[in-house]
Amino acid sequence: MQMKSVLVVEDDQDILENVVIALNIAGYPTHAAENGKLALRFLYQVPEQDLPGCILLDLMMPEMNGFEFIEHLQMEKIFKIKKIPIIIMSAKDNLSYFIKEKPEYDVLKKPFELEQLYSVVKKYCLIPEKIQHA
Amino acid sequence: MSFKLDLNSPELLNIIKNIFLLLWIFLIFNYFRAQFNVFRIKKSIKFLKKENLILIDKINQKFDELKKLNKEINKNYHLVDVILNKHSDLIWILNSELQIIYMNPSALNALNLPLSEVTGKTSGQIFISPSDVEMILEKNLRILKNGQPEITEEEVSFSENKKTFYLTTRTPYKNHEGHIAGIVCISKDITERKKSENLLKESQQKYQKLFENLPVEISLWEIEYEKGTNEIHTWKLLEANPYCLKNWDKKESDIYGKDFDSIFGAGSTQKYFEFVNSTMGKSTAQQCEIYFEPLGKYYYSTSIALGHQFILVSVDITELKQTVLITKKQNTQLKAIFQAVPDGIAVFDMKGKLFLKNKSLTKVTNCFEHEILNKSIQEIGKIFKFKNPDQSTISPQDSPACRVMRGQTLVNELHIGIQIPTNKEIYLNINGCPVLDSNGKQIFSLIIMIDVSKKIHEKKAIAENESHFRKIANNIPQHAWIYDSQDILIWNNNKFYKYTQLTFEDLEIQSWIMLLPPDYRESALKKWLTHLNNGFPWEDTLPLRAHDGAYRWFLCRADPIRDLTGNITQWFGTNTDVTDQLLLQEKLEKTIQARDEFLSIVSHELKTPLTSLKIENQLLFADLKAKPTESYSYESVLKIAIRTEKQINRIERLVNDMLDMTQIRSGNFTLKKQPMSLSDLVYEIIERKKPEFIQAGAPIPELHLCLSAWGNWDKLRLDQVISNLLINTIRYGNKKPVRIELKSDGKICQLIVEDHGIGIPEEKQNSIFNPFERAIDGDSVSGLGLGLFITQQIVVAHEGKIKMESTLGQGSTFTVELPQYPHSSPQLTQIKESTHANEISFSSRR
Repeated sequence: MQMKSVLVVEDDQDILENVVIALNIAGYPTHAAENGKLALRFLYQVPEQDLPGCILLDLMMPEMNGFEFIEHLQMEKIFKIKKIPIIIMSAKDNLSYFIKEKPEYDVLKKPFELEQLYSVVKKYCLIPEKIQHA
Repeated sequence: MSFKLDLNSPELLNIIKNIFLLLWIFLIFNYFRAQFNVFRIKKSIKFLKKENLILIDKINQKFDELKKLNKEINKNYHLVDVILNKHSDLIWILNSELQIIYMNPSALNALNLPLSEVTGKTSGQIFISPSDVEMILEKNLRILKNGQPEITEEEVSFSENKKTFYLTTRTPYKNHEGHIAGIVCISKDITERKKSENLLKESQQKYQKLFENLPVEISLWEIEYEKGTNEIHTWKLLEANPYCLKNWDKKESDIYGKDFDSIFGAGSTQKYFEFVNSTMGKSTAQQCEIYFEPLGKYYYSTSIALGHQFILVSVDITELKQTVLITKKQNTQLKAIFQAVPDGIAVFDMKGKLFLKNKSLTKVTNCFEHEILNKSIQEIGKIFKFKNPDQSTISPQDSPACRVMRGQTLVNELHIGIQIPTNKEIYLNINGCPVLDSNGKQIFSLIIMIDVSKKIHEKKAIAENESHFRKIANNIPQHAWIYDSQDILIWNNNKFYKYTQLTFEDLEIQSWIMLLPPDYRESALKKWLTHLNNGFPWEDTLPLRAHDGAYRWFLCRADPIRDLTGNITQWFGTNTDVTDQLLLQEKLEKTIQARDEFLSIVSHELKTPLTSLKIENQLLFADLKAKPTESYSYESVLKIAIRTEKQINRIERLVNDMLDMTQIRSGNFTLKKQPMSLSDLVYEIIERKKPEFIQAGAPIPELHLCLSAWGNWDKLRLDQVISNLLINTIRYGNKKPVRIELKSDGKICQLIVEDHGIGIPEEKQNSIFNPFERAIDGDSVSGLGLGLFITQQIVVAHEGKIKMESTLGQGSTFTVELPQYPHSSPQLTQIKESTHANEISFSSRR
């Protein structure tokens, strides 16, 4: 069974680094992007079979923020890119309106537990063997 | 066959002889017969002669008779002619063709035509009205057919507006052959008779109607005498008008022909007997007033005798009687009221003598009864005189009583009455009028005086109160106003006039609504009028135009003022200037909004390093569980420690920023100044920040520092200033070169930080130093938005200035100017937040 990677989009270097490490430890292949623009560039460049299983997306970012990234993705013509599940990671406390409008998105409220991160990523990417054994 | 004649034959001679003989005989016979005829004719002539003589005699006789007759006829004809010509009736003769062959002068006169005009014409050519023509034609044809004379009354119009009634006799006449040859018509003018008949009929109807409808009981009675005497026994009803039947509650059939007792019960005859008896004895009408028990009514009856009958006319005066009783009672009551009313009433006769007064008059005037009653005006004037309300005197001949005596009417005149002995003054409201008799001649003079001293004093007190009220109302900070219930201005206080610079007259013409901005007028007026109608207290917040054209917001309130009956008479209102309050409120709302935003940002900014720390910590735990402790190298632990330190520093900076902000706001922000070199500080900070520049991928700033930049400053705070400016170059510098220049003229030190980054939008440039303000809105940049605010506050606390020049997309230049040795140079300088007054706009209120 082929493992699907996770794309982490986060401008805060420390969080990005830590989330990548945590996912790596859990066995998920990861890609990192500092803002929405870079994330989009990555999605277009990567071969179709290597597209990530899900995207962990921060909302407040320079260049292209999370909301703009979602808008771009929704207007995307390539179906496979358009349908990549998005997991919002945000410290914003007024997200309720957003959740109400887009109930299909999973939300990780910062600061989150590693278990929360794993359980939400697990929904979209296959669980690596070694974690299951662990 | 042949025949031969022989003249000599004897036979022939014989025949001839016989023929001659025969001829002879015949001649002789004819002779004798002729002789006989002559004889007979002679005899006849003789007879005839004789007869003729007799006949002539007879003819002569007859001729004489005829002559006589003719004479007679001529006489009669003349008579007829006279009769026809002079007869007032209209006579005309028609032939069988119904053409007029004769018409007498009366008829011609009625038609107003000469005989020549009518002869040979038919009725249709003479009469005007087609209906008349038709009617006459029909009659004439009938008579011609039947041969029967007819007498009819007919109405004919000869001219358009005159109608005449005729009694017309139409008689057919026959010719010598016995056929009907025409009609003789004789018309008698009966118009006058008809008129009188109609008049009679009308008057009969009138009387009948009167009889039937008169609300008076009219009845006709017949006297019944005692047998053999002239004594009245009883009387029986012959006729009664409907009013009687109604009042008596009887039917015609029940009472007609009945006597008085059987109609009204026994004893009724007795009651009226004397009255009827007196009536019957006299030719004139008799009247009496009687209480008729059977009906329980008072009657005024009139009766007239008519032979053995009499007419009884009775008027029900029960109500009148009762009214009289009531009037008597009322009269007594009026007298009592006259005496009891608090108004003094005086009645003077035409000689000027007071002949009638009530008790209150003595009370009102303070005069004794004996001093004024039956005294003349002059005498009364010695103890009681009048003055005008303005204290001017009134001459005795102009006193109210004298004026009324002269026929004047006084209405609510206010005078001061003075009782001379005590010199007591009373305010009197005086009414007076002349009392006239039925001919319009003045018979009395009536004066009514009301003591209004109390009211006048109260009024004065009210006026005084009102002037106090106005004084107060003019001095309150609000506008005050009074409108009546019909939205008509009564009063405004001076504050209002001062604010609008309008006069009362201006505001009478121009409604207060015009002081509102045009788009407010309709809704405000609608609301105000609704309250005027329903009487509920009114409240509205409205912008009113001041004299300089500026608008200020007012809380306008009005309460209705009601009279004793609860009706609204006026509205008292105030306008309170709430502009400052509204500004404050708006500012407060903005502040609260900013605070909420700030809290949201703070929470976000705090959560970011926390997230990092939390994941790191959890990874460490997981690692510790999985690996033995010995396997951790010094480097790996140091790495963790550095990362943790970084996050803690970040949190510390945030907390410090917030603390600074709070200190600045509360005024507890102090400087600890010391002599220091600004260039050293810049070097130090650049060195410290190098890793951050490198991490962000930005070039290390280019430095142009003057070494004489010494001054008395708070080093830590200036560190904050420079650090904040540098962090901004990292955040917004777009990884382009940054230049830092430090200049000094010995008095003022200038620090210039120039980047070539994204720049600041023009609309943001004015507010960039405000708290929670960021160069880029929204979700693209993190941070509290306090950096430049704190920076500015620190610079201002050092009595310096901070300036910013920026072009969007090209970069920004921040210039900090610090006095190197400020004159005041206090060691501790308090920083106070500079206020930013915001103007509010109407649109924000809408």
